[in-house]
Amino acid sequence: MSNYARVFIDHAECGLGPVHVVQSALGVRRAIHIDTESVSVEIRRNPDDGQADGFLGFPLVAEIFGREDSGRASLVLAVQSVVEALDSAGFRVVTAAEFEEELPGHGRNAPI
Amino acid sequence: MLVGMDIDGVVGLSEETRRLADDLRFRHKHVLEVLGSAGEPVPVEILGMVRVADQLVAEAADLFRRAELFRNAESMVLDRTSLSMILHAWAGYEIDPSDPDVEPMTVAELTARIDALATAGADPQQVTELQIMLAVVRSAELAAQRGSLQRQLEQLSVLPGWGWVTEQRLQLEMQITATLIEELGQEKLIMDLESGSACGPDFDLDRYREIEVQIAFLEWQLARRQLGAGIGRLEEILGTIGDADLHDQMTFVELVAGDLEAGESVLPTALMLLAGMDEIHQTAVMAQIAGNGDLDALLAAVDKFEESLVVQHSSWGPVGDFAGGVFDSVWASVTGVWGLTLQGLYDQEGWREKWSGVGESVQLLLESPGDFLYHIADIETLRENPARWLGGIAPDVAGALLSGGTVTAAARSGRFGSTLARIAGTIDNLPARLSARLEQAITDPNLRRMARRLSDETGAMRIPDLPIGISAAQLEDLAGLVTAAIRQLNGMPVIHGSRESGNAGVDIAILVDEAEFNRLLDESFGTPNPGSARELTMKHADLTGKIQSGDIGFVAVRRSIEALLGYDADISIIERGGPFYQGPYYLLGEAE
Repeated sequence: MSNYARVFIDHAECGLGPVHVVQSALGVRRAIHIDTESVSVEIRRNPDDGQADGFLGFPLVAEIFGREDSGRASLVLAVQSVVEALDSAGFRVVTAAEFEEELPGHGRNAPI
Repeated sequence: MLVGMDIDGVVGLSEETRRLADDLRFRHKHVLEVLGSAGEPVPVEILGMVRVADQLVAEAADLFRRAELFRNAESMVLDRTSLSMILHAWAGYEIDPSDPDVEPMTVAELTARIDALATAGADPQQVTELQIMLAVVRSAELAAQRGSLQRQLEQLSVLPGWGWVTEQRLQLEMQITATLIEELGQEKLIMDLESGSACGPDFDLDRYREIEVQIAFLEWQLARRQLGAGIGRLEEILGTIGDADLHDQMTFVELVAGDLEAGESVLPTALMLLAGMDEIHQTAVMAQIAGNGDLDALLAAVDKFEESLVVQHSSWGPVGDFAGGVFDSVWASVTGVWGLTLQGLYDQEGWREKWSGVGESVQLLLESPGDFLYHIADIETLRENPARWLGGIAPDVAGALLSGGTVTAAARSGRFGSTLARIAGTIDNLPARLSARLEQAITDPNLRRMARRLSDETGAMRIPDLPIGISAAQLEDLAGLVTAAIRQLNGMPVIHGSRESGNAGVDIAILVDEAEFNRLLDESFGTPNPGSARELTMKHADLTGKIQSGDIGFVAVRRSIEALLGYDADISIIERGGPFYQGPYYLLGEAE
């Protein structure tokens, strides 16, 4: 099973920045590499920013990796937290993951 | 009460207050939502935000109510002057508003006057009205003041060479902070400053990272300024060395130690300046130090200074390499001079000879930094860690580069990159293209001469086959990392040549043929559900001939590469002949 999820993020009109939102959602502060006991998250520029259609061309991606000694459930829960926090903060998000269908709203609030 | 009201102004104030209230409600709601989704543990600062947000929402509602009161009033020109006139009128004075000598009362005076009226038994309703008027006046004045400060800050931010306006920026930010605190009576601005700069459609991840690095860089700039201030202070100190009265009161060491207590970095500059003094003054200082028996005190002061540097800069990462190099350079001068100082106590002749040499070096540094740098160039450090090497030759060279070189130009054009490590990364192009780049970047003739000499006389500076910004040692480590990561693949690891064109990060590609690419595509994505985002991601990878690092499981090695190089890196699978198969490439290792 893949322990990886990529959340494509579009800009929000207002509110907190995406890094801050994800940090808050996972209870971590002041780190670009966001590490918790169960997952590791990196917010990065999407290399396909502006070069692909739809969500594939969103400017940012949150790459979320489950740690080897953590179960699938904790990874899914972390991705869900991140997505919901970004959604609440007004970001358009689309999750691409093996388990995306298990997430509320398939982990997205934007069309694919 | 006959008053004139500026309806437009009050309506604006009311609208502004409404927006403030809405903004606060949004933040409040957001905080609660984050809390609801975060689970355990809930950060303490989040709980603090909730409390602050609660209070701010209540205050915003109060402000809004006050503004609404005036929105419904008749015409009124409401400012401190008119309010002063009203209160004067209450006291029975006739005031001519056109009289330029009429000074409006201060807020404190107005407050006292209204309080006095209340105490004297004035109509409570009218007192309340006056208090509300005063609150609106005060709020409007503070908002105007804040706006002015923010405009100044914006103007500063677009000035070239942002480093030199650091203190002004910090002062303005502090003033804005103080104004906002006074205006709202809370620390809302802290939330705003932290979050507001990173939201909206203009949000830029690079910029976000850059902000943090800028903070570190600003600290470094301030440290440099502090050194500069220390030089001035030292000159004062040294100027008093011949002052017999002062000698009676305080020794040189006490003066320096006193400054250290105050947080000034005087000691290294003091010793460096001592090294540059003429023999008579050196002798005078040495005699004073030896005569007063202050060697232990001076040594303790030196230790303390070194300790503070370690604490201050130990967590800066790549930035620390750069800034740490700056301080190491200063520190090397300090310890070098100190060693000579100790020797001087026992070996006057040797001391004079070597002291003179140090003095010449310092003089060379001040007058001809290029030659000085050549003199002290640490080629091994340059090979191992160009950022640190650069810091080692700072501040003069760094200042020259940052103020007039390619880095500043890149910053102005928006290609600044995400971290100060990238500044160093840009500057660490020196090893590969030193002669050309330095000569283009540096206008100072001494530095240009140094560049040519380093290029001509040291083989270490010529590494023509390396990608720009990557030293031979780094390349070897990089090849080891990547080769180990792709043992199971049939591909050729390369560095994309875009690094040469000024790309701030480094792109590593594993070039594979079509069959291997298809195998890896299957391995990375499996069989995703039809219509899922993951399936679309896989199709996109197939279409573009590129499998990104996260999908192929290269994140760990990507992090290792970034740690090794000190800037952003990416590593991906590229299909030969695909859309992303575009050189030039530098071969990395010997795979395939």
